[in-house]
Amino acid sequence: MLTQTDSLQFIRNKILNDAQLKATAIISKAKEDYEKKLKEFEDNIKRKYEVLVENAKSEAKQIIERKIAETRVYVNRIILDKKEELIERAFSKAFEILKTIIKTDKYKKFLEDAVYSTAKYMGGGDLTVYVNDETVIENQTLDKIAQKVTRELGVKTTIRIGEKRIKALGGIIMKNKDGDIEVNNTIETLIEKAKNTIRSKVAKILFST
Amino acid sequence: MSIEILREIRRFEEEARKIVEDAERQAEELLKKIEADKRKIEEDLKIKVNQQIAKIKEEASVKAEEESKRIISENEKTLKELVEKTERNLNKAAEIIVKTIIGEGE
Repeated sequence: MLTQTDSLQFIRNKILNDAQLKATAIISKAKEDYEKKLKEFEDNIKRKYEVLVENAKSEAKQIIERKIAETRVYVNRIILDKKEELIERAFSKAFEILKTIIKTDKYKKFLEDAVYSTAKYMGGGDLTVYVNDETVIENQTLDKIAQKVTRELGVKTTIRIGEKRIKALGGIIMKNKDGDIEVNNTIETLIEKAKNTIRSKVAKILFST
Repeated sequence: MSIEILREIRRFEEEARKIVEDAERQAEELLKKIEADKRKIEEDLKIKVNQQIAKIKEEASVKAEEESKRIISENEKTLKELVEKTERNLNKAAEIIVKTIIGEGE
């Protein structure tokens, strides 16, 4: 049989055990919530920062690609400039060769052809041809060319040498009687024209393997 | 039951209430602590990520410079070859120009 003291002890134990169980449950629940919330937060923040890292990686890739593209544009420009320089060198070399040619019979033939083709291009008539100090072209030759042009165009043509001398390596400048039409076929002008007309051909020869 | 016993039981209940209240206080403190812990986690992660991003950008910058130097170096080789090759064709090209001008060619 229980004494009053034993009964009280039993009641006390029961009440305190219940309280302890409740307290443990409260703390366990709080800890569980704490860990769950922290984990959720950590996962979210990690995802957020992972996006930032991925963006940085993407940006880094773009930095590299942009630099490569810029460098390629830069080196292509250098190659193009060098090619232009080399094409110019070919024309300069051609000019040097022409300097030697004007002392040969080839030049005389060229000059006659130039007078003929220019006179024809201008449609004949009374024409004056201008040459440099070194060039000698006989009146007899000019007459023959004029006759040929007259025959071919059916327009009476005369060609005479102008008194004024031109400053050019060679070639001619031709004017009509009124002086309002002028055709420049000096060596220098022909070279400049050739730079436009045969540039791609020159480039092809220069840069072929 | 005697008054004495009832008083004892109330005392036990009071003791139990204190135990529960203490647990509730601990739980509340734990929940308060979570905000500080979140800030700490975020700050630590932010520092780590910023370092990581700085490293990624630095490496990209170095890699970009290396690639650029490599391309320029390759280009120097290409330019040298171009000049050498062109030197061989220079006379031929000049002759074509001369022929075009003095009318012995196309």
